[in-house]
Amino acid sequence: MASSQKSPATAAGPNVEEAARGSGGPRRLAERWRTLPMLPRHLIAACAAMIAVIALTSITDPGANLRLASIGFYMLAIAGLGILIGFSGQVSLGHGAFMFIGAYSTALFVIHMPMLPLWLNLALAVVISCLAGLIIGVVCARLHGPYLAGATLALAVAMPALANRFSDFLGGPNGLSFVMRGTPPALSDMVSNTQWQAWVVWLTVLIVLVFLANLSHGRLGRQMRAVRDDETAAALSGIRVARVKVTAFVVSAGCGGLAGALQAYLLKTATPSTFAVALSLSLLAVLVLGGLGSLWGALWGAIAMVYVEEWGDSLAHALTLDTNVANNLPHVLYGVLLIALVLTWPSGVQGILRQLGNALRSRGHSGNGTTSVPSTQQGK
Amino acid sequence: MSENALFRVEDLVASYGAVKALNGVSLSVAEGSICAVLGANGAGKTTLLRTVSGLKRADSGRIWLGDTDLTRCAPERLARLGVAHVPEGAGIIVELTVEENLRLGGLWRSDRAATLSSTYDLFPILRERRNQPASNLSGGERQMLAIGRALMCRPRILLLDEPSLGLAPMATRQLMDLIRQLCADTGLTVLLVEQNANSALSIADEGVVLNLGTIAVSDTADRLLSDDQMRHAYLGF
Amino acid sequence: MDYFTNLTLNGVAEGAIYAALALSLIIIYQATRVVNFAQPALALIAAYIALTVTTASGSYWLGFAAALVSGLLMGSVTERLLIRPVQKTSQLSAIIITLGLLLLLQGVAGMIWSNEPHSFSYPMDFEGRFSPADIFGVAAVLGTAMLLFALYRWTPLGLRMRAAAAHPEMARMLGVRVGLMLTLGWGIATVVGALAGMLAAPPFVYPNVLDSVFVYGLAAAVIGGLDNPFGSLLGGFILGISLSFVSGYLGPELMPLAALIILILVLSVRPDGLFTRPKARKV
Ligand SMILES: Nc1ncnc2c1ncn2[C@@H]1O[C@H](COP(=O)(O)OP(=O)(O)OP(=O)(O)O)[C@@H](O)[C@H]1O
Ligand SMILES: [Mg+2]
Repeated sequence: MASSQKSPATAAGPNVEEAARGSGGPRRLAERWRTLPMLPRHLIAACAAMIAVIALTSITDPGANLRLASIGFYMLAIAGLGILIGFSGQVSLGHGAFMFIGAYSTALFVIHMPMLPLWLNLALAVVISCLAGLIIGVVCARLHGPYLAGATLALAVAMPALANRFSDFLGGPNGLSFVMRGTPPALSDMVSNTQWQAWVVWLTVLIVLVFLANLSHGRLGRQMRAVRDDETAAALSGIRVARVKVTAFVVSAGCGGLAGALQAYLLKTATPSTFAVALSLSLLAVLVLGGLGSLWGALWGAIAMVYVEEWGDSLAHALTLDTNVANNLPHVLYGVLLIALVLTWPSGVQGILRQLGNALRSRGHSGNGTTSVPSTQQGK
Repeated sequence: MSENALFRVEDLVASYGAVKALNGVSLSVAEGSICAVLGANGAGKTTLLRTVSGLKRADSGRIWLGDTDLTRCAPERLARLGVAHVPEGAGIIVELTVEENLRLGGLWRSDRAATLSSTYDLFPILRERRNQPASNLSGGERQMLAIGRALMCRPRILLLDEPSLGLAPMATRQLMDLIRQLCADTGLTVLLVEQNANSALSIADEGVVLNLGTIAVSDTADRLLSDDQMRHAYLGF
Repeated sequence: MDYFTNLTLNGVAEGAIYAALALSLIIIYQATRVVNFAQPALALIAAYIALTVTTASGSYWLGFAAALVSGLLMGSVTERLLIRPVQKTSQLSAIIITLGLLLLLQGVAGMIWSNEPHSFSYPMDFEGRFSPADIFGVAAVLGTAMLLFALYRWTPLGLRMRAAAAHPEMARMLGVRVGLMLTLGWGIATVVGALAGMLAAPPFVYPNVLDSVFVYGLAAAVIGGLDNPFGSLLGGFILGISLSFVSGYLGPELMPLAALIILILVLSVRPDGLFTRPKARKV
């Protein structure tokens, strides 16, 4: 009697495993997946994404390749902003400024030091924008709410003005144009220029995303969330609040800068009008649209960033509207989408998908007749 | 406690999510009398007052003031119907001055100037500090300000949530006497929530003991004071 | 010396506009703790309505009145329909709603009145140094500020509005209709915003005409401190005069950069603005 009734914990062990095994292959894989350590899991996901990008570019036209690449760098920028807002709770309206810094650094390096390899160029752009982020972060660490918003908004306005002021060096309103190497000669038969560009962009983006995913699940991520939830409590529990906030700013600035650099690489220009305040505000808007707090949300946001305008254009075209209406339809569409989503679904597209996924999964479980496993779902 | 009591609560139920904070509370208070509501922390005393003054929605049950049904009335309407609520911690608006706090209490009344000066007569200390920010007041002064503000709307029933919180025994005594005095002078009816059972019962006419959202004991104040068994069971002294 | 005086006076006139926008932002911020990024778009629509009314009726002042009235309506409706539902959720939601409204209204303005600039008349003669139009602008903003001060400080309505903003729950228990007060606060703020729009729009109005003015308005509010309406007025004039000097002596392209530098200098010394009082003791 006594020997058969072991401690409940050891008795439960095999049962759980059996349940997992009993429900077939996919479930078991999913279990395995969850038990993998973080880094390999993120690396595998990134590899899968890279393969998907390569597959996608092989069946699409150059225009679509460009858009795919744009989704990549926007996703990076949005993810960086998400770290700042979703994790450390600092609402910045000036993220476009860091894209500006990244893009112009890249452009200047290409023009003045053409011998630099691309990766070094990008790395330098990241370093410069991180430095800028450090300065801004130190200034802003003590600011709250509207004060932070005001300061960062002024930053977003000031950067393009800089380009206009120092037009000898930064090219004025027309910006800087330059040439960059495309596909390496050895591959130029098989890989088109836009395909190669999309690959380079996505490879860079995925590497940084893996870094971000690890960071947000690690110690720093926890500290940032603690700061966001309650600064005083975080300080009392030994977290160095100012330092965490500045770090978040630096990370997000680095992402923004790299995104800008990739944009410059892709478009071979850097113009001030690209980085107007509207860019910063749009980045914030699509971040919320996609869903704060997960990298998937950044992806949906980036897709919205690239496609909403285009859909608006083609919709206006299809309806053969008056030019005034047609010109402004994308903006109106964007605005309505934002308002409607925040009113009905504040957790964004990713929130909707997660809810859908949970609903499907619980239906699947009840269909199998097995008890539902509490899903410790993570953003990615 | 009769059918013609001024203030009646019938079978009130209120909950936070799945937790029922009030589970069928009934009580009645005669006009001009004081009813003490006692009970341990978390018994539901504050919830009772908040439900009466419309800040918390009742799941079921009724609340009557005379012939008026107060159930599901919005708080801003209740104030005009004669219900005044001094919340836990006094609820002083620290961004305003002392006098602005007071004036806020009866803005819609035409006799507000007269009421203001009679309130100052009741609490001379407030007159001295009328133009200071309310944030400068001490805890006891804040309680006076809150009670004075509640009186500005000439309420028929006054809901007091732990007015003695943070007051010295001496100040508590004075405050209780003042409440008693008000009832005697103006016929005010008071629902007095207190942790300090002795001082509350010393001025109350009746008392109820709440326990886990239900009325455990309901009796006259004198008998509650002398009932040792009840005191041990619910009030712990 | 003459140039210097000119720049100062220009700065005062511009500063009045920044001050008006800052004031409108602060009224809303104090009532509902939201920075209203839709303010330039609301003011823009008001200006376009004024343009339409003025064109139809031939009277500038009829258009002016129409702008203020439409401001009151738009502000109230915005609060009631868009802000109230998200008031209890995160602050970010409200920010995003106002951003969405900004895009929506600027787009709608472009749809109705086209993206091309329309000429927009000054209220009065605008030629010369500190012209009647400039004087009118400064006087209108200062007068509005005085009126608002009197309203908030000395009337029962103002007392209710302050109570509703400071402690909504207690205000309700004291018979204040808090929702109505907040709606009214938005309405009043948007009237002030519409005034700023009327002063800032000439000589041309187009969908983005108020964008930069809005940025300076927010900067002025932040410099002055969001808890203090007088701070925001002063902030507006300080910023207006400084930017006028920068523009006059160093070049207009440097204005945004100068605004950023001023903002950063002020905020690194006083993170809550120049004129914010120390925090009141609560409880
Ligand atoms: N906002 C709330 N959300 C959830 N539960 C609540 C909330 N307010 C109160 N409760 C719960 O309802 C119950 C009654 O609380 P209430 O505040 O009415 O107690 P009380 O008798 O006033 O206690 P105290 O003497 O400590 O003031 C408690 O169990 C409390 O935890
Ligand atoms: Mg209580």
